Amino acid sequence: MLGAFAVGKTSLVRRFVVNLYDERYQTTIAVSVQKKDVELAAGTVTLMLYDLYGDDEFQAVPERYFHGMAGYLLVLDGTRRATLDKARELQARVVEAVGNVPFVCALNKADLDTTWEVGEDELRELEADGWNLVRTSALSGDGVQQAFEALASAMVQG
Amino acid sequence: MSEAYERVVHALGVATFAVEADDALQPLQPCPDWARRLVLAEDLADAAPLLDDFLVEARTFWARGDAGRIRSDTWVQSLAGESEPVYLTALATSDGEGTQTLLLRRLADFEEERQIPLQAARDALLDRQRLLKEIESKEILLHCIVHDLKGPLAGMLGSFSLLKGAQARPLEAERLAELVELGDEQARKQQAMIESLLAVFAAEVEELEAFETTPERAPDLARAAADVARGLGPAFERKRVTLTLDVPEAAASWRVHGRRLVLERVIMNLVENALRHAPGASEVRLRLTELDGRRRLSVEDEGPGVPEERRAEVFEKFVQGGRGGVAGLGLYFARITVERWGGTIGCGNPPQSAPVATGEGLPGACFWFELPGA
Repeated sequence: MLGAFAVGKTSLVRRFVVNLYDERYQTTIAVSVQKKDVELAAGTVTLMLYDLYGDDEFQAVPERYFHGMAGYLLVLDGTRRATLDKARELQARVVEAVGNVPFVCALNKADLDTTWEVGEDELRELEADGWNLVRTSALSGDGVQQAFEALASAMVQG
Repeated sequence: MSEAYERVVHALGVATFAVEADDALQPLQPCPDWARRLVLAEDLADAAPLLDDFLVEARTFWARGDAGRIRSDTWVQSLAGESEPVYLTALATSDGEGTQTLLLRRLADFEEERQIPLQAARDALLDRQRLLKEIESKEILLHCIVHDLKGPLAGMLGSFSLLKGAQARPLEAERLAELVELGDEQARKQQAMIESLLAVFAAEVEELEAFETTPERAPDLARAAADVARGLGPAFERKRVTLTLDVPEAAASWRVHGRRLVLERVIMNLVENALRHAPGASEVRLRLTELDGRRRLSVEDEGPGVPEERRAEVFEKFVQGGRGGVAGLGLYFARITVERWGGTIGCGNPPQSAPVATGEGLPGACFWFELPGA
């Protein structure tokens, strides 16, 4: 799980793994790993989800996490334009460190889409760059399963 | 090994393992049970995936044989037999002469030491971002206000100009009255805009201001609705729109969280909005219902309605319905006020809506809010 701070990485994992949501924002300070099986047409895939802290001036996500990952969910918060820049930066860092690894971009906080700062034009640009975008809401659960399934499929296909 | 040393090691939450020639890890005494179980787990990748990852890195480091140390990131995980997850970190050391160790440390105070300052720092960053967004919104608002206030002003100036011209070339009494009426109408429109703006600013500034929740002091919803209906009567007459009040007898005692004058402004905003969109000779219905202790007021009209995809948007700042709204602030004001009082507001059929869902409602838009009963 990669992205800026407070984009909802932990909330997405929590919604996906235990189907719960906590309204309080509690910043992630240490890494945790969760396990979850995903049923795909090709069979069952076990995801080991590394829930990392947000990458910012206080905590930089070290490159060691990029090595050995089979794929990543790149999360951005549609209500904060800066989180798109951070997502682009992280994606470029991953490519530089380990090359092209399958990823899916979760456009989180879709429940607040009337206040989004990320515009349709920018999203079209991302799609043109080959990003697979899935609108998610950890609050309502919308799109969460789809995002992780899309990631699992992309990883299986390599 | 002295007892005192064991106590210190236990208090620090430290476990040390020697790296043997075959890369196996041998616990050095004293070694807490949790560390032994974790490090020597049969399936380390499953029991402690982050430690397993670190050991890959550590073994590469040990294989080089250089003196030094590398440390892992801090991770959080559950331990068998413990209810709360724990924070752990690992350190791989080598003296360059063949002595290599793995130190595992359980960080008892990590959450307090790290979480509090980081949470505060990130909360502050989020607040700053929100503030910048708010400043930007205010700038846009200012632009909208100037733009909207210019319209009625142009109308007033036009009327005055024609009236001034009447000194040189007298106008018929009917025409004179018409111009005065036009100027008056535009002045009132501007006044309404200014009042709306002031109400929104006041609501935002007084966001934390107390409101009434006790039955003796809380506002009476039915009375507020009746007062608003009476006040807006002439406006409805001018447009030949009928305003119907559907208030059950029980509503006579319905008191709700809020403040009377502000509640009336909320209702007025919804009713004025309905009037703006109501076709001539149609009906606007103001209805009171109750469900599970929450009192609901709904305003239905026979206008074109609000498309589903726009129903959340209309409660945002500056959003206008395209029929001469007041800077797009009336519904925004209603939303922030109702939400501050612990209520909900919406457009379209409200959840568990008895009367509207059964098809008795009017065919246009239905705006509603619910407030907790006092």
